[in-house]
Amino acid sequence: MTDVAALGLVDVAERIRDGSLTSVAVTEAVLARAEREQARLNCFLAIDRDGALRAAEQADRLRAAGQALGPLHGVPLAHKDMFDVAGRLVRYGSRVRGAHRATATATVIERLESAGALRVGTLNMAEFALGPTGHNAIWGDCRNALDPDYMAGGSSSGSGAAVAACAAYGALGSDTGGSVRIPAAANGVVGIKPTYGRIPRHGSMRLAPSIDVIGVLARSVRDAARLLRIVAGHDVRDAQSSRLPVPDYESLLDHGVYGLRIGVPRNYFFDVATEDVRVAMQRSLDGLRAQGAQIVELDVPHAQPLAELSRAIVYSEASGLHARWLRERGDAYSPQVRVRASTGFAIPAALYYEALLLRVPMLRRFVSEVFSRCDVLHTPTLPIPTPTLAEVDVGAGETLWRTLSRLVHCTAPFNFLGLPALAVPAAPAANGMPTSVQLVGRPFSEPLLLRVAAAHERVP
Amino acid sequence: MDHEALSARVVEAIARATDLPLASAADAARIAVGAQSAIDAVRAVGHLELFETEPADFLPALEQLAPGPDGSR
Repeated sequence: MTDVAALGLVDVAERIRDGSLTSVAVTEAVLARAEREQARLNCFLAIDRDGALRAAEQADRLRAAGQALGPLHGVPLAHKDMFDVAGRLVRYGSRVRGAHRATATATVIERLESAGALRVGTLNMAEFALGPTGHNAIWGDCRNALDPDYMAGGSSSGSGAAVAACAAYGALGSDTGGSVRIPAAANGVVGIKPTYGRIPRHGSMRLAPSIDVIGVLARSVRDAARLLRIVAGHDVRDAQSSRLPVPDYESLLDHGVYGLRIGVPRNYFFDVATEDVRVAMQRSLDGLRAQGAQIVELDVPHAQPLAELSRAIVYSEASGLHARWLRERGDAYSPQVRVRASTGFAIPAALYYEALLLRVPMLRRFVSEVFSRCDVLHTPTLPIPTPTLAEVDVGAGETLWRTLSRLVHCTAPFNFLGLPALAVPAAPAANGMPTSVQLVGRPFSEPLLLRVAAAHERVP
Repeated sequence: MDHEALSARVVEAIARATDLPLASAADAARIAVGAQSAIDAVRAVGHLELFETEPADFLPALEQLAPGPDGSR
């Protein structure tokens, strides 16, 4: 018998469209999975059974009445607790906001609902998106869907775990240092951090507005491509959203990689990589070469300081945003997150401004030197196997800080540069957990990244 | 000139001046380490001409560097 909850997002959308499945049947299956997995993973902050079923019944009525159907008609999704929905509690994974209810709905949620999607609940996340592991001292840690002893990754922890556990067909997250790609990698799903400005952020939590990007997580490249197409594009309510047209990402997925140049960095990205991660990356490269891609080794400019430069901006802006809450309600933060939110107070404003100014010349140099020699950069998403939750807990001792810095080692540089980056599952590491390939391209090259990722999915 | 790292004591002074409550000296020490890493990264970047750019140029720069509709440059 078909496991409806385990179908892909595009597949289930087509089945609802052709009438072989109803939205109610699909939503019942996903809710049953979500309620079962919640006890194991704590990936939801709230499950909205009644609201989801009401929306599913309405979707089925509209289809029966011959109404125009969107590309996600009747498909249940769930999103990180950072997107406003009018009238709903939106807590940012914290208790600082109390019983704050949103007065309007985020652009990305509006767009998904216009496409016909519905929501089964709100997903767990790192408190204020300040953490890469999936820990949340306020609402409880989110656990890895493949093995609950392992970290789910963060900050979009619930997004990665719920999608991998088939408790939602797809999810939104946000990525300021790797927060979409790390949970995607840890849970063995696809995660896209698009180019800065590709997805509008009106109505979503701000961590560091100069860096923040909304991203999507799904169980396949095709599913992620559909979600991205729906949420991308300019919005007058976000001045930092691009007016460039949004391509039909799905139509380009089967174009293959013949003749494409896949760049492998000689410096930085493999500095802390373990042997099993290196083997998994090589297997991906061998598979892409077998499909006609050319593998090119190259040096990446300024690789070492990029991640820390990103943190100079993130800490500064986060501290500015949190300043009043820290003064008035500092006790409502967990101790770890209060420190992270306070770090920007010790970064001089001139240094922060210098980091902002450095972005354009460093971006130009990076694109010129890297993407003149390759079309797509191929790195690990995580240079180490997914650690256990205990290994990244505050009680882990001296190794904790080294492990935390390794989690963002390969992801954070591309937040500073604003470049698109896609995480796609790769061969298992020695601990049995999946590794993940990160594909990076020039600005707004998401179609190419998705095309290479689709070819990677065909690697045996 | 010798480079002196931020200390917990300096962070505590900043916290007092900005009315930022700190839970402990250990928190101040952790903030000092995190901030110093970020400061070091900015200092480590070689000379780049910064008078010809501003932060608002970032999105236009990304758009300018985008591939053409057929993926070409």
